[in-house]
Amino acid sequence: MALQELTYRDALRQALIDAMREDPDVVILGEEVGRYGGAYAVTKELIKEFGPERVIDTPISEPAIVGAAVGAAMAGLRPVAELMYVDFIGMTMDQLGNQAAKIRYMFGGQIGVPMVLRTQGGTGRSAGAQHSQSLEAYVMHTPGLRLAMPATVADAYHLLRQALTRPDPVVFIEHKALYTMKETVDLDAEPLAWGRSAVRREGRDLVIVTYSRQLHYAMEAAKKLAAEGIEATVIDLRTLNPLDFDPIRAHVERTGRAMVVSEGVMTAGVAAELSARITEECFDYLEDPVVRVAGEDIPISVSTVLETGSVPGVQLILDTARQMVAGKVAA
Amino acid sequence: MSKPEALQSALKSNSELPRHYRMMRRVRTFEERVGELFVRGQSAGSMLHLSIGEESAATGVCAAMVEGDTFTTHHRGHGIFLARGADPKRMMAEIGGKEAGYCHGKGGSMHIADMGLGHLGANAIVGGGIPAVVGAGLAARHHGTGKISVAFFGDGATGQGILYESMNMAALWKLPCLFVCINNQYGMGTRIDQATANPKLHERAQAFGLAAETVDGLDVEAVAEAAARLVAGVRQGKPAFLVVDCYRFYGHARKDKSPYRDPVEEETGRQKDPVAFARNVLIERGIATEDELAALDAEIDAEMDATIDFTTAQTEPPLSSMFRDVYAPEEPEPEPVRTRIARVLARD
Amino acid sequence: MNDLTLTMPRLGETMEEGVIVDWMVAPGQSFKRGEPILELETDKTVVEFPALGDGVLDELLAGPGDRIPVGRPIARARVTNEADWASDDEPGAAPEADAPAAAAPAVALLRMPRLGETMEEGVIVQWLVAEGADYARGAAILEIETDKTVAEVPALYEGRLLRILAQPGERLPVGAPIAEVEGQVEAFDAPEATAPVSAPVAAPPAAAPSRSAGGLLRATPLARRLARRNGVSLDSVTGTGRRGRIERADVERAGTAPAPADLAFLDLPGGRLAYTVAGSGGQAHLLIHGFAGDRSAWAQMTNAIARAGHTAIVPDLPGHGATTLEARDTETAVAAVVALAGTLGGPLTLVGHSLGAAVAVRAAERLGAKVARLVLLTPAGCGPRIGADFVHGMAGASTPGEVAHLLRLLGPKADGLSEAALGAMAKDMGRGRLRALAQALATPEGRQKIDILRPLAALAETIPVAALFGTEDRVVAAADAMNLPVRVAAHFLPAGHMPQWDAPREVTDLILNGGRNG
Repeated sequence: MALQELTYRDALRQALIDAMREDPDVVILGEEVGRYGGAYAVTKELIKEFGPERVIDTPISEPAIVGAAVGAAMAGLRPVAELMYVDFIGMTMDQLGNQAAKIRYMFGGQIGVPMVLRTQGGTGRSAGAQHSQSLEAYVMHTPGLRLAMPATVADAYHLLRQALTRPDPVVFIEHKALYTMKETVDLDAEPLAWGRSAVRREGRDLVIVTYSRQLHYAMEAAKKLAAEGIEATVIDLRTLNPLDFDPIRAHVERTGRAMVVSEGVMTAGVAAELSARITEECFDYLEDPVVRVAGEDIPISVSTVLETGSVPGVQLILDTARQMVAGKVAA
Repeated sequence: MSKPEALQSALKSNSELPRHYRMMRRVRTFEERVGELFVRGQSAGSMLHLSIGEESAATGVCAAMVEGDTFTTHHRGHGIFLARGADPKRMMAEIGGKEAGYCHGKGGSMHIADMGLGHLGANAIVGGGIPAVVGAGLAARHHGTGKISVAFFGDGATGQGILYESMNMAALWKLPCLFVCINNQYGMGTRIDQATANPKLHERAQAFGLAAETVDGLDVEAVAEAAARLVAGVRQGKPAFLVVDCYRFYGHARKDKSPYRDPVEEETGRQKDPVAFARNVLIERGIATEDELAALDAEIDAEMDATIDFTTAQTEPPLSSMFRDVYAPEEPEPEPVRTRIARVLARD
Repeated sequence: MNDLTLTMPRLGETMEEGVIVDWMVAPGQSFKRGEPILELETDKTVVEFPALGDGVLDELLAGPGDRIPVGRPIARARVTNEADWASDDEPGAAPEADAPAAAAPAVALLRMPRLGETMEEGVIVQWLVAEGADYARGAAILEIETDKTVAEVPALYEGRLLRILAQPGERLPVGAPIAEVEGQVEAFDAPEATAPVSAPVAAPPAAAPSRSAGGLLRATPLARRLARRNGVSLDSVTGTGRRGRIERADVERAGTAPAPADLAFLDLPGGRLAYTVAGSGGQAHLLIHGFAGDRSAWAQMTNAIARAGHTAIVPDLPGHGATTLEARDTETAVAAVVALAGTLGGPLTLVGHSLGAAVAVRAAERLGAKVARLVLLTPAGCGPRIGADFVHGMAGASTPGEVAHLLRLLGPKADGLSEAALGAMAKDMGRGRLRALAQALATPEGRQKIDILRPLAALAETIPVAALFGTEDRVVAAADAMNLPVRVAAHFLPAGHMPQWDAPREVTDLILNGGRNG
């Protein structure tokens, strides 16, 4: 249908509206989601259309917000719980990690927890050490939880719509620096299937595996590399659980070089897992160690200089790629 | 063994007590057999928390619930589950970690549930199951079912913030939720007065605007009455909180001794026996004779002995089943570590 | 009533023993199922142990305060039903501590050996066997450093390392005890006998940049794999990668040892036939590749034939590789092979793979007595069907991705081609060079258009013919072997369509020795 220019925020909001119109069991609950319209305005004015019974303002009680969503999902609703910042996920880890993730398993498959936990993370707004983290590894380390991290406007819409049809709990982590990003999209176009990664660019010299905001840095770096005669493949994971590994394998086996880019801290993080997996599964095809380009192992500062410096950016990706392929690419 | 006639007629009389007694006695005997299963080396694990001494709470509150009501229980929840109609054989098989158990050997004593009975799970995290009733309450109201959701937990959970968050939400949103605190006086080895400055637990719920009562767990009729009273309000959207005062007869797990308890205190505590109390009342009121009750007891013993025989005869779940139910059945199962390693190390 | 010996129960996995706190039933007293009969203290807790059935206690075998291992008797009783007391743990079967141990092997002292006449002391570098672990005769037990070298000390007899007495870094005189072992050790006073140590590693080649300080070769995993596959020794390769690491390009430059073959051309009407020759003398082997292949399909065979003292002649068929002749049908290929054979002396062994096998049969028909033997690998033309996906897919492929996917049909090893090779193939295919040949070979539905069974029957009457099939072949069915003339020797391997890649050793053996050594 029609192409339209949307922001990442618009797309998320539209996904919620469309899902709520289609399924009367979809309810939203979280801090400031109703009258205030969401801390990042994703649920703006939803309360007008759907009322306070379906767009539920909660007290500041993160564990009970997630816990109530768990119970509601078990009892037949399709709740979207909103956690204002992913940094608060520690507060909810019992309800998320011990309850939502394990209920299907502990009870021998009798029941599932079809809920979505929407939250946002990452740097970019000088929000300091407790409002800027990338904690996706916590989620990825917990079997039973699905994890989606959209990088594009189209994915913001489609992944959220798809998350709201999944049988298992989905943690949906947006990036706070992407809300105002604009793209021209056709929301009626057939989306990529849930759980598939997207090859955003193809090249013969190395593979950059990434997700969320770092995709945009990787693409920018790839463009600059191309001008120097270095061709990079860039893979956007879209969902970290399920993890679509086959395309990574196929591309790494062709290029022999892989870099994993993640905003989360390096040690024991998503990049570490992916790097280990690539090394194990593509060992015979590697010409270089798989390199992790990730956040520094430090807290995030409020100073813009320190904040920006503590996570990967275009320059670090560029420098790393140049080092990896130095002298190996026909001029 | 045929049911004694007098008791039959009593069961039809107005009094609920014979039924309460029967249920409490079943719970007690089941729990004793759980201890036996462990001693036989047939239980999967040793995390077996018995509710002996607390049978009135399960029996009395569940009597006020109807089909379609949902509930969550804590780690000491065998009795509640039985009182909601669970099959003791499948329960025992689950405690034995057998394929025929309610959760195919994945849950065990602390996580037995039958979702068909409205059970939203037995929880091994203290307070972990409480907020789910807020969500279930929201769902009940959203769908206009008129059903309620009940959280059962111990006095230990009153130390968890999630209880207060949940009570606040239930009160704020006027949800059909009942919070039942079975106060057995001990959070593991710590007595209630060593863990809280104000042991009048119902006052905490009143602070959130919930209807709250404390009832003596010695008398199952009193428990049932209080529960019925509160549940009537809960169904109208007035969430409530009920404390049932009991005494945990045995240790934290199984029938372990409790060296941290004064033997005199223990002896006095065990006087507070809801099963013996109900039995005496039945005799005093002339509802049943000693002989009739003995026959009923024997029948229950046989029922619960059979749970052990059933469990012993069941098979373990197949190893491959461990990858099942991590995700929904239509989703791919996680790849076994051994398979991954074999793939990675395969010679080419 | 049956007699029963009560034993210390195991209450929880970690319990190994229990202390009797008190008996709650006295000898002579009866007990009922569920009644506590004794109180036990375990490593975790104090617990009442209930009767598992009705009975009478006869005699106490252990009293309060006694610490009893799990499974040992604690009392005797008479019970109504023995089965009640059965448990999974079979306490009675618990290990008996005082059971006569199996003849205990001798404990001996392992001493610092003398490695060479001048050695007076040694330093333990590291232990290669852990305490408690068994070692086989000849296995290296530890590394020691002497005045001359670092050497591994091998076991002279099998045994078990019980206790390490000297830690890494310790300097000890020859003869000093360094470990307790179970099993025989060499009598210390025989210096000659203690000498056999693995030869000290020769000094590393002067400043070979591809070696680490420890002597390990630096090469990327991809380079190692290519070298393995192409029979290239990494020792002979100079690395140009980071820190002197050997990379793929280095291996490719090093080529295919031992006889790097130069490309030669035979001018024929319509174009040139490219081929290579490896080795010299001995028996001449003409190796004919299959559809969409080229001479590189034979890399390992070529090397093996040359190493064995024979000659391998390997053409690129018309329509393939560096040959400029186009392929209209199989006849074009047969004519080219016959022409090439005409330049060679006989007798020839013709080795053909897949379509190349059909070409070999047709060529042998025309070459007559010049051909001494035929070896056919996964031959086309022996059955009604052939993998049309592969044949038509390759003929129409235009991207490296398509080529890579189609090559996977060939078997587990078929995906190892470099990006450059895939690209080149895709470029070739993209020009549609193979479309006519594909149409001559099979219908789009996979019906095979060529048949070699009749000429094969005639040939097999005069010369030895061997045919090899892969049981996992997805292009040519192994069942085609059933159609072969009786005199053809049929061989089977658990391989895909490229047995020369999947089982190079066996295929080499078949070519050189007729499979007799396999």
